[in-house]
Amino acid sequence: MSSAPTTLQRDRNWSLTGIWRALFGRRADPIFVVAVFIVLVTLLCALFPSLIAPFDPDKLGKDLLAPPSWKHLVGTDEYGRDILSRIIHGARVELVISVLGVALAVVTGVPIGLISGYRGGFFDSFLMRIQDALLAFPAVLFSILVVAAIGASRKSIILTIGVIYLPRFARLVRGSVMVLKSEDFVVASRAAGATGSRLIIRHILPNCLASIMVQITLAMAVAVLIEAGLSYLGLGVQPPTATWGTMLKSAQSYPAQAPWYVLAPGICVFLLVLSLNTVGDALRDRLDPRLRRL
Amino acid sequence: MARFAAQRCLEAIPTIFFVSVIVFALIRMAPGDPAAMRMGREAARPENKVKLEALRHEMGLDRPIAVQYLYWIQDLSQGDFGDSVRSKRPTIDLFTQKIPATLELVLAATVIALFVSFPMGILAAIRRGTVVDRAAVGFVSAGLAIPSFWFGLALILIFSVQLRWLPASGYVPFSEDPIENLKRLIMPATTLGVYLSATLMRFVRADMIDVLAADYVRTARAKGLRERVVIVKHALRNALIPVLTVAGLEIGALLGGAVIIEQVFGWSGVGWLTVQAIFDRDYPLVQTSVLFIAVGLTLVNLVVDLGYGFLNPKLRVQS
Repeated sequence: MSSAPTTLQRDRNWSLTGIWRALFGRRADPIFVVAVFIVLVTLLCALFPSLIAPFDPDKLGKDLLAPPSWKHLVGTDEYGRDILSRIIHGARVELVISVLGVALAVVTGVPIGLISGYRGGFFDSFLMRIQDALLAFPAVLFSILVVAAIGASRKSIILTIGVIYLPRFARLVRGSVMVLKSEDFVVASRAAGATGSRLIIRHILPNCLASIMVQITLAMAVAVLIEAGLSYLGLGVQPPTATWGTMLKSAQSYPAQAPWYVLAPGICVFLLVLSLNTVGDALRDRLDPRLRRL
Repeated sequence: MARFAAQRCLEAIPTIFFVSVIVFALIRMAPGDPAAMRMGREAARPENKVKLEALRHEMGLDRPIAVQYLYWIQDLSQGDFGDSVRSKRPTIDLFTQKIPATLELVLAATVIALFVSFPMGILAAIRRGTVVDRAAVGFVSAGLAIPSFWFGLALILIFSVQLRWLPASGYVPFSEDPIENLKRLIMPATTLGVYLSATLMRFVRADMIDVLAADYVRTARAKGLRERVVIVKHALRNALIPVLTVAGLEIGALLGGAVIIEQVFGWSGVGWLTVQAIFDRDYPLVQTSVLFIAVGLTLVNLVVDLGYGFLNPKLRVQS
């Protein structure tokens, strides 16, 4: 019964509450509600940073490293810029990088996994070895290679996240396809004359979607951590662009004078990653009981 | 078992081949002419153009890229990994010099992680749903979400800046001054250990919960064995297998983490060396260290797989 339709497909109530209930059940855990709230707030900041931020993130001020006050809620940085505004604008860069990086992994990894799992044979083992090779690189080291090739920028982080997560998506999908392709409904459809591409797109892919969605949420969380880590090392987004990683990089020179400067961006990364992980775990429990323990 | 082992070893060969191709290709995409870099400033002078061309020919840079790759492999097989652009010394020497520092850091982090994750994970599984369990689950969520370098900065802020108990950064070889070495090891190893502790604890807890519900554990209890014996001899041993696999596979994440942590604490290991090399645009050094780490990880994964096959007979049959 591993191919039972997911809850998503069963009740097609596309109102907001309907979608919420289908995804998370009728009684949601309060921690989970907080997590969704944090993700939504980050999303709002990313969409409308100029409306939410009290100041221009790049406007220099006279108060350098000023402590938190009513004017500057989280204080100012070494150039007198408002830290809160920079954090809000940083949310956009953060989300754009994570979304594009994970999207790159999905659009490359999922088709590779589908074909690899469906075709099997030499083609499959060839692709698997390449993926094993990619998995041998920790994200930071791969990013060092990418930086050597194209320089440090937003692009290099997106490419790193995409390539590092490509094999993870491909393997996930490949595994599901190998189970699904011998299921009765797929065999029946093939007997009825369905072509390979129709089988993959109409019958196999929809049944992988739930686990792909879960993996996307969890990969986004790691992507945020990778961005922060790489920008902190100076291998990612370059100053003066505000991201949480670059802010931490500058902040580490002033741990004693401006502890709030070190704390604020880190707490943001922590909360966003924690929330994405919580949402991902809840989705997994709801949509894909088979994966619950992984 | 022999067939399984042979198959896994054979599979590792193309993987290592692709690793080397990836490293070679990406480094060759780096801007700048390797021949000009070797000549240094002289290369820019017009009268040295012929000399530069000769050097390019000597280095094989005028050949097709596939041939250049083969030249590179040939050099590697003869132990020639190229010279560092910056220090003019063989990159392999620079790299191997830094291995002990990283090994020490990674080992210390692993020891910390084992000492934290096993007792807490087991306790959480036994006392499922209690405060202890909630604390363990909270620790896992937090440990997986906290940016490691930020946690490191927080430790520096507390223990170096405020309390002045520990030096903020730097590495002193154990052979020179053991006490100083250990004092400087505490913070980076703790920082690196947190993530691994969280990952391992998650699995120890989940596996123990599964195993404790198994029939043979109930049988052991029904026989009247003491609870301690049931937990340690019957449950824990069986929960260990998957945990060990995870531990093996996390070595990659651990090394990746070490690259960042070494930077935070100025711990001059291989990660620190590689990051410095990329800022110096010392591509031969980057190439050697990334190649070594990636190939090393492939081999570690191979050993973990073989060990897992050895411990778990089911896997051998499936393959």
